[in-house]
Amino acid sequence: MRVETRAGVNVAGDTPEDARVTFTGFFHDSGRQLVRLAYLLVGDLGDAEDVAQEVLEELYRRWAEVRPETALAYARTAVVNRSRGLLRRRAVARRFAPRLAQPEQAGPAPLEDRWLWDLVQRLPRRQREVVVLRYWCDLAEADIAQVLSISTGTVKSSAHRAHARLAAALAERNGGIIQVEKGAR
Amino acid sequence: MDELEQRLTNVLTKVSERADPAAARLRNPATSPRRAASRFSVGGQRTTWLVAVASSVAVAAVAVGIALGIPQMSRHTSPSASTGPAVPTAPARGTTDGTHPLWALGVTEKYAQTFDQLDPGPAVTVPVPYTVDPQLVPELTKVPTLVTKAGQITFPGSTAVHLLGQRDAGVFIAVTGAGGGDGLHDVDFQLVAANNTRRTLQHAAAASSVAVSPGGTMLAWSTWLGKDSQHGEPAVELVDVASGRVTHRLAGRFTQVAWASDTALVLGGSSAEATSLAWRAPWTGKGEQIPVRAGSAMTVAGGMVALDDTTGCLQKLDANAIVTAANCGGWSAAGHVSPDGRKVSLEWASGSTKQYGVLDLARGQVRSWPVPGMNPSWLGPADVLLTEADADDTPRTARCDLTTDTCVRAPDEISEGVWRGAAWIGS
Repeated sequence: MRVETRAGVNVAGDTPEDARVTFTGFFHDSGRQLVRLAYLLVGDLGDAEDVAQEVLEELYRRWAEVRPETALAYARTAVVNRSRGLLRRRAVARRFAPRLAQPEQAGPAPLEDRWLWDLVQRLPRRQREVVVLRYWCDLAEADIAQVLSISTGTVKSSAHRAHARLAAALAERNGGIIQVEKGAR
Repeated sequence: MDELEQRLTNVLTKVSERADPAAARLRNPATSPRRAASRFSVGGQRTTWLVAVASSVAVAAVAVGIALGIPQMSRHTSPSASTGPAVPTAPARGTTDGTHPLWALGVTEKYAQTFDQLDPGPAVTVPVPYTVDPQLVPELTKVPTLVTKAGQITFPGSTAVHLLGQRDAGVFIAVTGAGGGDGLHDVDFQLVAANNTRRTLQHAAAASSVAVSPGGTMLAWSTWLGKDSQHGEPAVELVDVASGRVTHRLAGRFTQVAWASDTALVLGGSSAEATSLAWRAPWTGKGEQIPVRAGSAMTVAGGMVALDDTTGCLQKLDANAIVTAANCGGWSAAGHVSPDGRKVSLEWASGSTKQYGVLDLARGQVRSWPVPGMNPSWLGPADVLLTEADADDTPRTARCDLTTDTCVRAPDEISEGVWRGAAWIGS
């Protein structure tokens, strides 16, 4: 992935101006997606904005070293890692300081399946990441494993546990009738 | 794709769309210089909010109002206190749930109180005020209901009623009119007296992180200033309960507020960047930014303490939010003040392991808890229940009597008290 640079020109021939143009394209194509991903992982708009902005700034600094076709995967991984760090700090703060919650930006409309989103937020960190990457990013298990730096087997087991937990909650809401298809995860 | 997967995909898509206003604020590093706290910029200016609040918060607030053309600014700054029963807000659909910031206030109260019933399980003994959520107990009521010693108050047409705190003056509540989102919308802040008469203190289009001062004389909440809450700038509003006036409006995000006898210490900043700024906001007069480095602050007996987690120093502040003493024990986190305001729980590092304990502010001594990773829950001034913070399935518990200095760890292990010095430098 690493491309050696010399005097502001990398081996692919990109000048700084070229890099600026290609990064701007990436920014417009993927910036919103990165904020959305961060929001799904950290649950706070301000923090999501911070995470995505920091990732974009870091990515721009390293743009000469990143292949455009892998930039999104790289950025996703960075968002996941930064979100983890933020959640870790937040957990410590919650445990020992009676901080008030960060202000949330008002939501645009009532959420139909709010209960399901609440459950997703309460999933263990890895299960939540797998759920978001699987059902929102629509990534394959191998891609999820790469983003999270875990094995495909761990992705499968995490997805299975998350699915079972959420399916049980859905069944309870449906009056005890499990409507999960046979053979589904 | 089964029903669950379909619903998961839908809900994640809808939730993610809520991040679009934040995405619109992203700056392209390739075409703009490194962002400098853009979320705190005022009126779209690149100058940061520090400049705006440093000279005069009041002037800055007016400037923001003029710059943004905020209609509710004038409404907020005028007295809105009224007497008699409050008029319910407009009907709208919505939910209340255990993740709302307001619910978290239930565990930050200094004294154990019963807050909103998040499930219909445990019985609540009247006269402790509590609310009834119609969505959770639909068989009991069709509208949000507050139960007090004087009887029930129903709020027809409102989404929910939230208990904010109980003080000598009465019970502080937030009545919400519009549902949805993560904060409160179309909120009436009210004070319910002992005979169930209500007074509307203020109205806010959107608010979250509401805090009531220990004496019940001041409220604080986060809001968004702008034509609509989707594109507004974050701000903190402090309200004088007696007059119903917004006395201070501080630009920026709100992380915590601590109260002294006549001053509020408001901390703001970015949790992601681990930055923090402090304002001193006296009950009367202008607020000002003060040079207190603090990641968290707590109300304690005689004033406030603030932890500078970058240096590990716990600072003692007087009633004017001025630092008078510091205790630099390498503390990494502090919180959970005892009901008498004389003890504060602490976290610190000892080698590669974390230690947890309590600091007696007056004696300048710290005692480690018998089991690592305990979360303190104060049952009395010297009686604390500890629950292991990081346990997944069966958290261990222990109970410490700080009068006799003994801890009992479930089921029957006894830990001797271990106090060591933690000297204050200053008065």
